[in-house]
Amino acid sequence: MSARSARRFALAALLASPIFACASTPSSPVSYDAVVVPRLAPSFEGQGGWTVEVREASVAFGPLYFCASEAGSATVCDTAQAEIARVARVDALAGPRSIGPVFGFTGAIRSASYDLGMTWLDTQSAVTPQPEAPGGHSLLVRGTARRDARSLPFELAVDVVPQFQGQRAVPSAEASADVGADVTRLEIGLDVQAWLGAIDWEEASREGGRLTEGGKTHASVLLGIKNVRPPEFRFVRGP
Amino acid sequence: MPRRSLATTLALALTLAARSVAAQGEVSAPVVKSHVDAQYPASALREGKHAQVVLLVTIDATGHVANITVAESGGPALDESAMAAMRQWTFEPARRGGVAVAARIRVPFHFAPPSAAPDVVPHGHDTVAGGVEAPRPPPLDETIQEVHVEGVSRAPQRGASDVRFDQRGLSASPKGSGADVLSVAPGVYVAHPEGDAIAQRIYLRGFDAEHGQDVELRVAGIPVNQSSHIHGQGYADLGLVIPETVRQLRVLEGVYDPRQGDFAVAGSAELDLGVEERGVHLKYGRGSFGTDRALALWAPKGQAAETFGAAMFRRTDGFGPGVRGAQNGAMVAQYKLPIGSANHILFHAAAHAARSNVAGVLRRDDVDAGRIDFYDAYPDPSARAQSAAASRAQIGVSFERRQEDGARTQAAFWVMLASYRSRLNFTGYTERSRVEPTWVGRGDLVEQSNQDLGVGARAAYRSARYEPTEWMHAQLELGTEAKTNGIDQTQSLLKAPQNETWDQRVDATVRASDLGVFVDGLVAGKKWVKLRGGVRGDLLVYDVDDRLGNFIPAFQKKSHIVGFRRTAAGFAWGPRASLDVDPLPFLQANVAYGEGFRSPQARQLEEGEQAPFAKVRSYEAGVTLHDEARVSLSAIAYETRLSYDLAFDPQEARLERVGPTTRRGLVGYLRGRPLSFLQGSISATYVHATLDSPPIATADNPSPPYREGQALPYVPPLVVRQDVSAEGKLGDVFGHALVGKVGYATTFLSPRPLPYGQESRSIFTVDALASLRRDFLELGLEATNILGARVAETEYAFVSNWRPNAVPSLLPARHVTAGPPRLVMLTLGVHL
Repeated sequence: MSARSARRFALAALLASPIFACASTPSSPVSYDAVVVPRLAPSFEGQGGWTVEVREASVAFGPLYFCASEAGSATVCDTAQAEIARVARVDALAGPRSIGPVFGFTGAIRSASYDLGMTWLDTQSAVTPQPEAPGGHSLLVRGTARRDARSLPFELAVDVVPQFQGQRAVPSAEASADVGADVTRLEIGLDVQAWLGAIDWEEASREGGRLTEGGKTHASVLLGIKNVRPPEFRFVRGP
Repeated sequence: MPRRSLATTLALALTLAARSVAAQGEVSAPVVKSHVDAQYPASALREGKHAQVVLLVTIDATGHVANITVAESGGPALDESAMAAMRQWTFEPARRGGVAVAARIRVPFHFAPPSAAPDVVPHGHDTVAGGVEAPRPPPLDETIQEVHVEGVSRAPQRGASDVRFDQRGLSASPKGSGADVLSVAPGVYVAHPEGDAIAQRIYLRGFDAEHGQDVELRVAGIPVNQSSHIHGQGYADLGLVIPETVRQLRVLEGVYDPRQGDFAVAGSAELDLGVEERGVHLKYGRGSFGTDRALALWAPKGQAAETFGAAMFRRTDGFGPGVRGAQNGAMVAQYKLPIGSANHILFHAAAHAARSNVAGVLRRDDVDAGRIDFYDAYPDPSARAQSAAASRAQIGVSFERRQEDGARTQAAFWVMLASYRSRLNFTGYTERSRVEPTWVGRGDLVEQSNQDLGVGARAAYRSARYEPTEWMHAQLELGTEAKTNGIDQTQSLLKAPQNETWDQRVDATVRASDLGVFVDGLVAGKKWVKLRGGVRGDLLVYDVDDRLGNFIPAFQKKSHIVGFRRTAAGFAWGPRASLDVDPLPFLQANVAYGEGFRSPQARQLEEGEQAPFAKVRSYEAGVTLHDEARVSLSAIAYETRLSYDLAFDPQEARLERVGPTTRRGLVGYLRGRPLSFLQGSISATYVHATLDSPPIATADNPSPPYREGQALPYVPPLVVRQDVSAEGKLGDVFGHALVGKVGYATTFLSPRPLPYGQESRSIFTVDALASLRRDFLELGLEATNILGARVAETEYAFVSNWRPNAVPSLLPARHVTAGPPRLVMLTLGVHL
């Protein structure tokens, strides 16, 4: 082999290096704003012709975890696709309010699980209200319900609690989105008025207006929060 | 005799010797290229005696004098004069099969005193300045009588990615552990993220070989990788290697040699042990963070380089506030028993033991937010309870017989006993007991234990050289290798600090046997082409007693007795071939192809399953330009395809499958000794590594960390390494030569892709050493990470919870294990 052909061989060997294909893009970290959109009028008509006047309404929301699986249970989904790993206290009578960023990854979201300010973490021996929980509860509403000449001052304190250690209060809820870099906002709809709309005010009157855990009113509101009108999650693209 | 006649005579003698040796096979002895006369020392004039000094001189593969020992003394002054001259000689190196190798020759010097009248020079003597007579050249037959090419048999070169390093090359920069010697090879990065008692982590040419899963490691011919180890498949702890005793390192990147067996996926590394400089060597070093290291090494003069004993002990408080304290020790003893001129038996024994505290991982966001210092450990009891202890002892005996016709017979037998226990917490507080599901949040301190007893043997026969034509010759080698291991292993969760077991994950006994056979052939054209290749096949048989198999969850009615015993077997085979073309004296071109395998983790096998080996296919093409043996420049392009890969799963603290992968890369490697006192190398390895088909989302794993086609996690796309050292005589101090040495190494790793689309930071470190030696005393200073860079030796991305009282994040977060900060060690050595 001549020196010239040797040089050619060397050049060919170098140029014969594999053609490097572009790698596909894996999920990448994203963050976007979380906005709580409460629905609660200061005065509205409740069950049985009662007019409900709300003076104060606070909701504790979080932590919230979105999962890529259909079931978001902590025992199934130990890695979140997105999350709000904190608790926010929301004034339900105020308008929409940012509660900070959602951190997560691009990709499909198929379920959610969350607490409402009362947690039973792996490392907690019992259900524990987070500091942001109003009065140590998930939902605290004060106001007056009126019907004809009757007036019922009430204080509703709802505890939405996990059933097991390490579990969330709402272990798996509906959520669906394909999150890309174009998602700019997560809107969390809290239909507090619908929750209060489940109250039988005659029963509440019999309970004396202090509507706490153990009563039928508490149970009906709890049902509304967890099942009838649970929080809604809407991923907004663009501005 | 004129002065130059000494060189002429000796060169002639050695050339004749070379022919003599070459006639016994493919071996040629070194030939003198330049020489310097010895001077009759003034200090010996008063005695005025005639004396004979015989030196045993080791000539390295570049033709330079690597080591000198006195075989026959003429007194200290004359010995020193002879050695001073000898150090300046240069040689055409000895060659075996055309490849330059180290050799040892016996060189006699005859000293005669100066004549009374300096201006009268007797016949047969040479004069030097001052009228002192130079040593007389030895008689021809005396010089050639003991030319001896040293070393155990070396496997022939397999492509451009087959690189070898001698003791001088390995000592160019600080080597804190035996595993660190690997770092001189192109594309290799060695880290110790889990402390002194857990095996090093190795990156090799696009592979994150973890603790050895992708690199076949052998020490003194004995396999180090442990099959089905609880902490990682192919776990290979090089703690038993004392860096000062590594005589030669061979790193073959790729799978092109039929001798390469299990775990040779990215490649293989063989460490041959020996001590070139004979005598007794004692070293003590004191360094940063309360580190003490003591070494005793004795290499009896007049014995082969493989015959030596060594013991090393080290203790350290470790960097960081009391979370990395460690103690470890190692011993090696070897004896080479020559039987005649061409046969020998080598006895080998080695052991090591270590225990260390482990700092564990830190979340990068905690470090960045200042919640914890980079070198600290979490204050949590579970984090502070991390530790590891390991030991290994091995003995082996090997026999080799060489015949004049080129035939060779080898046989070896070895026994190994290794134990391992670690307690590591990667994830904080995320685990739930499987045995009792209501137990949760007690800390993810994973205890693993692995007890392994292995025996093995190998034998090979290489045929005589067959020359059917004048322009062609051929040889054939047949070999077999077998090993069997009995392994007991457990994995549990512990609650610290009580050490209460709160979950059991593994309790198993594995019997693993590997029977391999290979055939390797050589067909060589007379001058410029060689084709080597053959086939290797391995039968692996497993017997698994999985005592927690068929586990009954707490919510299910008990319907059977827990336990799952099973057997499985599989046969892996593949061809390997390399073609070398030497069209020009300065140019070598190679192409190579090979198929290798990695055995499966036995516990993952089902009853009767054909053992699903990880199959690797390697291709490469390379060219090497070289100036004799002084400088070489290689460029290599390669591709490696692996049928399934493994990646670290922090939740289980072990390796899990991530599907098939592909690596394509380029390697540039410049290496040389342009001057007798200077040597250096620089390599750059670029790789594009991708996941071809990672596990898809399932109900059990709805958020898999990997996507098809994404960059392979933990693998740095670019690794650059540079080693430079200089060594030479600085002058004479009180009648003895003062020899100085300086060296440094730089290492760069580009950012590594991590799961979940994240990326680690790059790494750049500089290590250096300097030493002064006069006669028997040596003072050395070694420093690693001189720039004090905050190096994250490993980075992961996974879910953890290290703040048990706070709302946890379930997002995969970056975690780091801190590499050492700047470390300095002062060493005092005594050489007797």
